[in-house]
Amino acid sequence: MMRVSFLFLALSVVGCAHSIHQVQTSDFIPYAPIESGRVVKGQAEQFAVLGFVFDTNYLNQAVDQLMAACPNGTLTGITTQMSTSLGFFSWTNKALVQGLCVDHQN
Amino acid sequence: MAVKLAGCAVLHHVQLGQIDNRTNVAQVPFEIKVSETGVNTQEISALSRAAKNEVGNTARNAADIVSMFQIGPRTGDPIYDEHYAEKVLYLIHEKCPSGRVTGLVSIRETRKYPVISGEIVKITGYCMKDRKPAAEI
Repeated sequence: MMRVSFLFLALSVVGCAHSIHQVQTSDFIPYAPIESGRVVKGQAEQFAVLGFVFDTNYLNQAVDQLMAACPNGTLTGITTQMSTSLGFFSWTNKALVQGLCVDHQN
Repeated sequence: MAVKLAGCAVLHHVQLGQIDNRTNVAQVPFEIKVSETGVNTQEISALSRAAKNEVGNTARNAADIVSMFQIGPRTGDPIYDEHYAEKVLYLIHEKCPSGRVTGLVSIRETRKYPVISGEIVKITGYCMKDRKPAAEI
């Protein structure tokens, strides 16, 4: 019974572990309250098998998404989170960028 | 007490932002800290091995199986909620509603204990506020 419990516990946590590598924040210039704009985000992933990767410019996709979400404004307070979802001899690197888009009035 | 003494901090990454050091504004310091519990299955396996009984062997086997599904680059110990640090932007604006934020320091660190750890993201900074003229004080 104990063995079954341990195996059940092991299987329940398989495939859902992650590691946050870094979270950093850019400058907040131009200064703006959060109500004056809208929070936009861009995210991209890179799948790796035993260290072999297939997409080496995935971060560009996240930046492009962020810029496309704020076509006529200024992005301020950009937070960048780099993380990895761990897996069975493979893993997924993830980039998440968020920022406050302040639209220009004119 | 032994567990408390065994804890230690590991600094992974620090980034400093722009500093607006004008003297006509007051700078109010603030700190944001979000964290998640990390679990080290390799340490579980090692401790279970030391038990040298059937329960220990089963726990070790279970920990070894889980470890096979946690392969990849790591910073600190693996966590089970990858979204815990996504609200940092909102939290900064909560601390400083005007958005006049300067001197931001982004810190990624681990508070390590046996088997578990605290995976911490900490942001410190200053919220700028206009100084009141001496006559109004």
